Amino acid sequence: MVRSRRPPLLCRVLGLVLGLVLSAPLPAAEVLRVLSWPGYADPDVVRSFEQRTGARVEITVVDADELLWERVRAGDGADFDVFAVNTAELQRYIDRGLVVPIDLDALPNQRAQMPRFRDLAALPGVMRNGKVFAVPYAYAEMGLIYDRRQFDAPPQSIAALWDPRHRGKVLIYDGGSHTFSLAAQALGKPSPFRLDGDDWAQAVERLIALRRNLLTVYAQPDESAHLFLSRGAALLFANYGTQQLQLLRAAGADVGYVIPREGALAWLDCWAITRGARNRALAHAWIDYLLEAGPAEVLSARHGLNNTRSQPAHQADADRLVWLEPVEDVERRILLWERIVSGDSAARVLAP
Amino acid sequence: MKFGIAAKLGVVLAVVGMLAAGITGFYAYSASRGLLVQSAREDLLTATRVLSRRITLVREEISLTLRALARHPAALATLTEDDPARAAELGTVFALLLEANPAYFQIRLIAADAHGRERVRVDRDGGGIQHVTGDELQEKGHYAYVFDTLRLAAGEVYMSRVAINHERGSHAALLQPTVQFATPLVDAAGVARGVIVINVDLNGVFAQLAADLPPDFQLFLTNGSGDYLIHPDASRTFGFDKGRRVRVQDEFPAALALVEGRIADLVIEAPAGAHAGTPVVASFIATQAQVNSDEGRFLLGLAQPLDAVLARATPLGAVVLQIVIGLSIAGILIASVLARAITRPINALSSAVEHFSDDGRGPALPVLRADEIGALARRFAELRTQIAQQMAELHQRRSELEHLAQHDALTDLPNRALFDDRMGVALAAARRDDSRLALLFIDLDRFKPINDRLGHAAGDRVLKGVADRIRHNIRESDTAARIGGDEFVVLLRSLQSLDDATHVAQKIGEAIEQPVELDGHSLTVTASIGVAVYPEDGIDAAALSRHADAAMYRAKDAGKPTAPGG
Repeated sequence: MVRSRRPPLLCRVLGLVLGLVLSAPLPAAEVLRVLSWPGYADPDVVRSFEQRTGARVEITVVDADELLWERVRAGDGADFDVFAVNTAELQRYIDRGLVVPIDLDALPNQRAQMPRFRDLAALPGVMRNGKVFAVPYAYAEMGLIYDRRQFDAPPQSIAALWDPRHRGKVLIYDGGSHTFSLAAQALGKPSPFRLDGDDWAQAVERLIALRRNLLTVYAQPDESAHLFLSRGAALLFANYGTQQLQLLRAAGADVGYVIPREGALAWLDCWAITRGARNRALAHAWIDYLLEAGPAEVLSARHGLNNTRSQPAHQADADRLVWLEPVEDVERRILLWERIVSGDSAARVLAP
Repeated sequence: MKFGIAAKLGVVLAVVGMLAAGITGFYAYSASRGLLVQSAREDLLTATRVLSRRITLVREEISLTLRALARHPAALATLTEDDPARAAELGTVFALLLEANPAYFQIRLIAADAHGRERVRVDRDGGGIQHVTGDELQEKGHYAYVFDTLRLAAGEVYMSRVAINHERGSHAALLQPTVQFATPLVDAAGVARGVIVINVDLNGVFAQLAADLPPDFQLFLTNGSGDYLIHPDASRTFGFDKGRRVRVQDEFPAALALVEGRIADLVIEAPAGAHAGTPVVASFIATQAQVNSDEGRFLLGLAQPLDAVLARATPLGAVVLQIVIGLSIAGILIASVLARAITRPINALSSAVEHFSDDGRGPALPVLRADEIGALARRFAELRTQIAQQMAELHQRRSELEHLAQHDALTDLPNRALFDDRMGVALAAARRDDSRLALLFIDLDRFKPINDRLGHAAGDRVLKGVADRIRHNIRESDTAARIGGDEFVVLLRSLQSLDDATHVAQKIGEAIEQPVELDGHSLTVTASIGVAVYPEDGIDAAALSRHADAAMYRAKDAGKPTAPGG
């Protein structure tokens, strides 16, 4: 028998493993785990941050509030370092202790934000017990889009939605929360998000009146633009804000966009840091980086969202934005709205 | 084991044979499989078109029903006269239709005025039919199936988007995939006074249509944007209604061209995905409903598991495999036979070289072959013959040389060396057998004058004659030799008596004395012969020689041979 010159398999495997262990690189670059929304962390934006810090960024994209909640809560805040959340949703994260206060000293770029976003105490929900839990990043307001040919002057108030002159030519978003907020604004209630007692019956009455003035309701931006153009609508409650404006203008519509004097409902997305963040300094660096002019420009120019550094052209300084807050009873709003939109009378809408 | 040319050649030939069979088999199988898939694709596309046609028929049937209802006298009368009896009459018709068509959810008469208030409404509710009345009737003026239908001319039919029905109070239809068909009711003045609406259960319609499809077929329906309306995994349908669109082009990227209207139909083989745990062959076609609708365009798809298509290829594969194995075995056999056929003559040549002998014989060579091996064998046979001849010549030369070394060139008698050798052998034999032998010394008398007078040639002829005469007078077992110019010795073996030696010596002497004819001269030569006998006259060669020599000289002096012992 010829003796093999090769060492036994086991020896070779051991040798290989040992070689790998000894030649393994030193601890890999820092990793930042980001839970983001579409458009908030485009690849070029992320790459620039990685080059600057040497860290590696892992982006996980979510596109629904509930999905975000599940992701963050699943690991008790330990699976991600930093995430984007709107101010209304943020409250339950603070309640559960899933987020930690943010050190504003670590965010020098905050000084470049508009005063409206620097005054954190005036923004609902970003502070609690004197501590800042989130930094504003992106927002959109829900203004009114109108057909210039059918209006002599731009509508000033949301009351225009009820104007019988536009009967059968009004489009609104098919959602319970926002429509009741609209009704509350129209009724001059102190908070669009807090209805109680007689407020409900008044709001239902207003919304049935609104229903009778509608062309129809819509769910998606492109659907709203199609209906507006093909059915000759006059006024549109723009749940998706300037995104719908862009769609209509791209389709050649002669439309204007106003923020009514009652104020436009607006959502505000912020960055927050999880309790389980591995490297809070890196998480702060990420937030600070996104407040720079470059990422802000990407947000506005590429994705049609408002950034917190500059005032968009369609807004005036005096314009009031009504930041969304959790409503008093979201299930009830949805149920009653579904009854209203189904065509029920007030009595049946308010029935238990 | 020796891995010779035969084995190598055999293995190479066998491998080539198996490769050829295997590759041929593989391509045959692939091609057949491709044909099967192609055939399945065409079948699938045909099935999809048939299904699409049946959908169109269903839609036309609904349109016919709507037009018939619109012409029903009670319909317009209910709107214009506000007569409960006519409304009840229409309600009965609606209920009958609902009973006859399980895929109808709801039939309604809706007024154009009063914000689109429902006037007659019959709903399916669980297993039963329900007439909806009073304040349960709702205002529907803000639904497209009302405001869009009111703009149509009499007899035209509206079709809504396919959507999840969120209209509360619609009983069985609530939260179900629904599509509304509607037609306007136009009075004599040409004014649309209301609409008749049929809510159709999408899944119910397709359950009927797909009932006779093979059970492993999967049905897909999307709207014009690719959003799934029907999918084997129901959770992927109506994604847009849940805030997350699930579209056909996300699952089957090739379908994008169909969604964008660049192609009219598409057949693809798709890997495992949400649609199935296994790869499928899928066919999609775009259809355009000839109705008034925001959404008249649909994508209809059928998918069949690739396994089911390829199941038909399995027996074919088995046959191909058998053929390949058979051909491979045949290849191995042919390779081994061929290898032997080539290597056998080479082995014969090799064996011939191995067993080469100088006698020119040896194993038979394949000299009759007409090929290169035959030529090689013939060359080798020639070579073998030449070598054999040369070897024979060599042997002959050697024996001649040996003879020359041991014999006298003139007389061809053994020389002294050979004689001494034979003498030693004879003495040893005599000692062993206790027998006698005799040594005769013969010296020619007066030979020198013959040489001087007649020349050396004559002398040589005399010497040769003497040698012949000596040779003729001794036995074959005896030995005569020439040991000097005119001196000869003779060894006589196995003598019976001393007299025998003397007798032979006398015979030799007399034979020599016979006259010799030489160039016309008659010449007489005499010889003096001395005899010594073992053991009487000596027991070794030297002693016997001395004795014989002495006896010879005595005889020369006496002129006659001397007796032994004398």
